[in-house]
Amino acid sequence: MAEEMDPGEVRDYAAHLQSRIDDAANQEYMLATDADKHTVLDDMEAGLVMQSEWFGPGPSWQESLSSVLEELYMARANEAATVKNKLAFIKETLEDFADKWETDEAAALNEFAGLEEEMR
Amino acid sequence: MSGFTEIPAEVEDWQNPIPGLLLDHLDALEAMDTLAARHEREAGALPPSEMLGKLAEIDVVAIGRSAIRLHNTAQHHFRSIIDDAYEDLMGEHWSGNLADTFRNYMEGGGFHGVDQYLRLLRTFTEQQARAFLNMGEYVKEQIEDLVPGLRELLGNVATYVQMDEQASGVKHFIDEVLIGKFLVRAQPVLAALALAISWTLETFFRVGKSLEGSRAFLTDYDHTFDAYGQPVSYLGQLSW
Repeated sequence: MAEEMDPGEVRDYAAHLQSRIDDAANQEYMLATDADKHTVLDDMEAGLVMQSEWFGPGPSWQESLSSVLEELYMARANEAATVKNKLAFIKETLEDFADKWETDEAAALNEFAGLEEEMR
Repeated sequence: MSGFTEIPAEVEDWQNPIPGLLLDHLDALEAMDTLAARHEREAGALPPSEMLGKLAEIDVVAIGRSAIRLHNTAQHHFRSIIDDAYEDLMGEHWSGNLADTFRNYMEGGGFHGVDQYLRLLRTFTEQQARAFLNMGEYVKEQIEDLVPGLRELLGNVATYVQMDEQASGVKHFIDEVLIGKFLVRAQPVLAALALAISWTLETFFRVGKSLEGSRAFLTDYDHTFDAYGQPVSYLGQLSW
C-alpha cells in the first residue's frame, strides 16, 4: 500500500503525548521521593505516599509495613519511568518520521520540478 | 474479612473507634493505669493507656484512602494509549506499511504492544491496591473486635478500683478482666497486623514478578541489536 501521511497531523499527535509524558514523570517523582512533604498536592496525589505515623507510634510492625510500602512505591515509580521513556521514545520517533516524510516529499517535488523544467 | 472485589471510592466508615472511646473515658483510663501499676505484671508490659494509645493512633481511614489513591493514580497514568487523537491520526491522516507497523507497535497483541503493556499495568496495580485495601480492612476489623470488651472495661473500672481498695476478689479482676479481657486481646492484634503485612508483601511480590516478565518482553520487542551488538530501536530501523 502506498504510504500516505499528513506530517502536520503526526506532529500534532506527537505533541499531544507530551502531557502524558509529564504525567508519568510526575507520578515517578511523587512515588520515588518524599515530595508529599514539600509539594502542594492536588486531589489526585494527596494521600498517595504513605505516612508511617498512620500506623501508630513505633510498634515493630510499623517498620516492616513501611518497608513493604516503600518497595511498592519504588516499583510503581519504576513502572511510571518505563511508561514515560516509552512515550518519549514514541514522540521522538513520530517527529523523525514527519521530518523524513517532509524531506523526501520536498526532494520528490524538486525532482518533479526538475523533470518538468527539462520537458519544457 | 469480606475482601474487596473492586476498589471503592471512599472508606470513610473505617474510622478508628478507639480515640473517641478514650476521650469519653479519660478518668477511667487513668484509674486503669493506677490499677495496673499496683499489681505485678510481665516485665516491660505497657501501662494500659499506652497500649490503647498505640491502637488509637492507627489511622485506618488514611491507610484505606492511600490504597484507593494509589489505585486511582495508576489507572489514570497507565490509561490506554488508544484515545481519540490516536484514532483520528490512524484513521484519517496516516496509512501504508509504516503506519501499519506503528499501529502494531502501539496496539499489538498478547504481551506485545504499548497498549497491552499499559493494560497489564492497570490489571496488576489493581491487584496490588486490593491487597493493600484488604490489609487495611483486616486492621480495621481487628481494632473493632476489641471495642465491646474495652467499652465494658472502661465503664466498670471505677468498680474494679473500689474492689481493689477493699482487697476483695482483686486477683480475679486483675487476671480475668484487665489482663484476660483487654491486654491479652490487644497484644495479639499487633501480632495479627504483622501477619497481614506478610500477606500483603507476598501479593506485592507475586504481582511485581509477573510485571517484570511483561516489561522484559516489551523491551525485547522494542530493541534489537545491530552487527556491532549495539541496541537499535525497532521503530527507528524501519526503512522507507
